[in-house]
Amino acid sequence: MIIARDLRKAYRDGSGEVRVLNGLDLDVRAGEFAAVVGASGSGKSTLLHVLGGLDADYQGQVEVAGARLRELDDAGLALFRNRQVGFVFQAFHLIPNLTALDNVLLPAFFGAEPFGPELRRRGRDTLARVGMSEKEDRLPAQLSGGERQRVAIARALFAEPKLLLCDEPTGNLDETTGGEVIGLFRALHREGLTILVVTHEDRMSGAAQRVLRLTAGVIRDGAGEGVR
Amino acid sequence: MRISSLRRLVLLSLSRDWKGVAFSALGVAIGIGSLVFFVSLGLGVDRVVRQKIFPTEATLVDVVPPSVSIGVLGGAKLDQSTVDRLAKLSDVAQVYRKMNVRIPAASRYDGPFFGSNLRIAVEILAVGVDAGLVRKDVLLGDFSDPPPGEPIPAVASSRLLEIYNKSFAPPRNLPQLSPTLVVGFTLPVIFNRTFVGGTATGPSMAGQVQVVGVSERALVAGINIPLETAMRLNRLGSVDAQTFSGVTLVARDPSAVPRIIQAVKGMGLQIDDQERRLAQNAGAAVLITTYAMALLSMLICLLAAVNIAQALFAAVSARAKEIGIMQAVGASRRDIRNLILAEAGVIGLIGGGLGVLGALVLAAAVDRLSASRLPNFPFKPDTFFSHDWRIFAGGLALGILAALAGSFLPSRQAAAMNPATTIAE
Repeated sequence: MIIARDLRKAYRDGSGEVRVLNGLDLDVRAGEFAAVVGASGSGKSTLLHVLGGLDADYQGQVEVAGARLRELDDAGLALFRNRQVGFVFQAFHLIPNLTALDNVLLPAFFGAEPFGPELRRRGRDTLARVGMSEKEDRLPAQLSGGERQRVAIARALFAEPKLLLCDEPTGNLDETTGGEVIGLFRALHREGLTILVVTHEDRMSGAAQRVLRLTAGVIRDGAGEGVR
Repeated sequence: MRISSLRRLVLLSLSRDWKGVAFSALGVAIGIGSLVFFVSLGLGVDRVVRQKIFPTEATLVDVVPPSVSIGVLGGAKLDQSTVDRLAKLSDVAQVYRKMNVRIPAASRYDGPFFGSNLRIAVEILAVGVDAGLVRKDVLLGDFSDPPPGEPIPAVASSRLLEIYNKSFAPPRNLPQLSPTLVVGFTLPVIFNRTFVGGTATGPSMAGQVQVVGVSERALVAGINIPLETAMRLNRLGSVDAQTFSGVTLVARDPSAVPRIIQAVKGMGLQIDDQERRLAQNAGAAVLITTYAMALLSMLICLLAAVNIAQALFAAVSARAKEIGIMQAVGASRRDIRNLILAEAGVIGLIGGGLGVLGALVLAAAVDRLSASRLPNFPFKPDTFFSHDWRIFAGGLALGILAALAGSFLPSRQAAAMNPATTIAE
C-alpha cells in the first residue's frame, strides 16, 4: 500500500538546515495497521503529510495505493487525497460552522459526484458507522472531544479510502475516550482498512500490528509488535 | 469542483460572517448605486436637452445666406435659383424655404383668453415657411395664404408654449394651454407697425392671425406663417420679397448631412447650426458632468474593491486552517482560488444588486421631490432619469468585477497556502 524510498526532507530554521527525513525507506502492506513512533519533532507528522500528498516538497520516491505521488500535479494530488486517503488529526480539524453531517460531507464538495440526497445518505451511513448518527445536526462546538474525533474519522472514511493516515488521533482525548477511538480503529482495521498512525502514545502504538520507530530521519522497523 | 458544490460551500462560508459580507457589499453598493444614479441622471438630463429644450432632427440642415457679402466676390444670394440648385444636391430629399416678414408687426390684445382676460401688446416676429415644414403639426386648415379678410394661419413653437405654461402664465393667473387647446386662438395683428421703434414706413395693414398648430420646428420667439403670405406682406410693404431668409434641407439619411453641409458651403452659403451647437454644448456639459460623477463612482468601486481585498486577506489568514482541511480532503489549489473568487463574486452581486436598487429608489425620491417641491420651470421633466436595463446590467457587472478584482490577490494567496504547514500550526 505504501512504498517510500530514500525519502528526504529538510527545512531551514534560525540555526541552519534541519534534516527531518534523511533517506527514509518505508513499506506498509495493504490491510496493515502500522504505527510510527518517535520523539516530538522527529518528523512523524512530516512523514504523514508527504505520504498523504499534502506536502510535495521532498526528495525521493513515494508510491501510495499505486499512485506515484511525484508524478501527480496539483489536481492529481487533490484527487488522490480525495479518493485514496483519509486524514485524522490530533486537533480534529472540523470546520466550526458546519454541522457534523456537513463536516463528514466535506470531501464530497471536491469530488466528482453531484451533491444530492444520495451523498447525504452516504454521509449519514458513515456517521452511523462511527456511532454518531444521533448527532448529525450538531455543530463541533456542541460535541465532546471524543465525538469530534469520531466525526473527523467519519469524514476520513466518507470517500471510502484505501488508507487512513492518522496524526496523534488520541492526543487530545482522555483515557476513556481515547480508548474508544482506538477501539474504532481496531474495528476499521478488521474491516480491511490500511491504517498508518503516527503517535507518541503507547496505548495507540500498542493497538497497531507493527510499530515503526522514526529516529534521525529514518525508520527502524520492528520496534515491537503491537498488542492486538 | 462542481458548480452545485461551489454554490453550497460559498453560501455556507458567507453565512458564517454575514456582518462582514454586509459591510463589504455595502461598499460595492455605494459605488454601484452612485454610478447607476449619476449615469441615469446624466442620460435623463441629456434626453431633456435634446428632445425638449433643443429638439434637433438629425436629417435637417438649415441654410442661410452668407453674413458678409463683398462685391462680386461676395457669397451667393438665397434666391429661387439657389434654392433650385440646393434641391438638386444628390443627398437632399426635400427643400423648405423660409422668408422673414421684413416689415414690423405688432399686436395689441385686450379680451377673453381661455376663461381669463388678457391684455397685452407685443411685437410679432413672423417667418413664412413652406407648408411642408410644419404640415404634420397643422390641425386647422391647410396652412396656405388666406383669401382677403380671412385670418392668417400661424404655427407656434411648442417650446414657446412650454415657456408660456411654466413661466408666463402662473404669475399672471392665466390658464395652462395644451397644443390642441391653443388651436383656433385668433389675435389681431397690425403689419408695418411697431411699438418699439420708428422704422416702419408706409401704411399699416390690419389683419388677424389664427393659431392652427404647435410645432417643434416652429420659430421659438415668433410665429410661422405660410411662405406666400410672408412674400405678399413683404411686397405690400415694398421690401425684398425675392430672396429667402433661410432654407431647410432634409437629408435622405443622417449620414449624408456632412456631405450636404460641405456642398452648401461650397456654394458660398452658410449653415445655421446655432441650435445644433447649443444642443451639442449643453449635451457636452451634461456628458462631462456625468463622466465626472461616473469617475467618482468608479473610484468608490475601486475603494470597495480595496476594502474587499483587505477583508479577504484577513479572512484568508483567519481561515488558513480551514483551507488546509479542505485541501486535505481533496481541494485543489484551483478549487480554493475559485472558492474565494466565488465568495467575492457573490458579495459583488449582492452589492451591485443593492446599489442598483438603491439608485432606483433614490431616483424615484428625487423625481417625487421635484414634482412636489420644485417650481414648475420650463422643460421640467416628469423624470430626470433615463432608466435603461443596460445601465443596471452594467452596474451589476461592475459590482461583480470590482469584487473579483479585490479578491484576485487574496484568492492567489489562499491557493498558494501549503496545507502541511497550515494544518500543523
